Amino acid sequence: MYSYLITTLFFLATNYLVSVLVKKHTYEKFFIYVITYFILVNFINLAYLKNINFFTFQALFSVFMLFLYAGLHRSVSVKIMIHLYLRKKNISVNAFYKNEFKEKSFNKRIKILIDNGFLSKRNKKFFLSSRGKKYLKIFKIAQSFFRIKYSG
Amino acid sequence: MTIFLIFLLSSVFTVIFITLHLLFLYFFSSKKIIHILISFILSNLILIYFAREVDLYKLFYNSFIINLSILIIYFQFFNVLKMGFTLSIITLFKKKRKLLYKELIKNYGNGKGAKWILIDRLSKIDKLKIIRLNKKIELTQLGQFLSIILIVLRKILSVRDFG
Repeated sequence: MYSYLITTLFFLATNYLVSVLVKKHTYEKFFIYVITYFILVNFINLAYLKNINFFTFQALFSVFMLFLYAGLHRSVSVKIMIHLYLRKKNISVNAFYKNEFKEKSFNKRIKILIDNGFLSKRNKKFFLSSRGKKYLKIFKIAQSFFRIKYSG
Repeated sequence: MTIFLIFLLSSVFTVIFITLHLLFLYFFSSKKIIHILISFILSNLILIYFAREVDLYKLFYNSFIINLSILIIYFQFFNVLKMGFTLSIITLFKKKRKLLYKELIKNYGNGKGAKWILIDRLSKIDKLKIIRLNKKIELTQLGQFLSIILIVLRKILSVRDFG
């Protein structure tokens, strides 16, 4: 029982240290951290403790943490709720769209896509880079496989 | 050896689970979350029967935990394909090769526009009684309580920025 508690606390403490030491603590970096943690902890577990229940718990814990982090980091609904709570007052839909959503969500996603080499911009026009085109092909196949007409 | 047997059970589960969900998608054209959950429960019931037949009943508990992880990964994957905000920007280039910023805003969500995604998310949390939505957005008491939990969770996981 103690090993479950200790590893969970170790996970959170190390994550805090990583977030302080790394310049920008993005989802990609958190993903790498979780995978490294999972491999390291289970290497020790399977070599010394040989506890199968601990292994399966760690698998679920790691996946759940990734799921939770993605929601807290990227979800539009979470962003709306936290914004409203911190402002402590009502806000009009139009004002929220203009000042918060368009600027801090939509434009930011476009910037992320440009920074990660998916999108390029020339003469005020956006177009997909070769990397973006490759991913678009994969998305098209996946979406048609799951019968999804459009996303958003 | 035990780990491989657990993975074997979970692999059988994955095949049954995805097949059942695809059946829902293709025969009922349904993309509801409840159908992912129904597929999950049915596949686990089939797996219990399979595990009992091949004397791996004791390992079902461990396999079930792995199956839960598979469910979360599958759900996240499906959700990104269906509702992914960033992914949706990339798929705007299906029809046109080059787009102006205004066109990105206008064509978002199959021509519904960027504001649509905000309205869509607002209506979803309004239905859950987290906010009151008229012309203004206001948090309900439940919304305030959940917001506190989200802020605490963000602090615990050291989430500093929004992606």
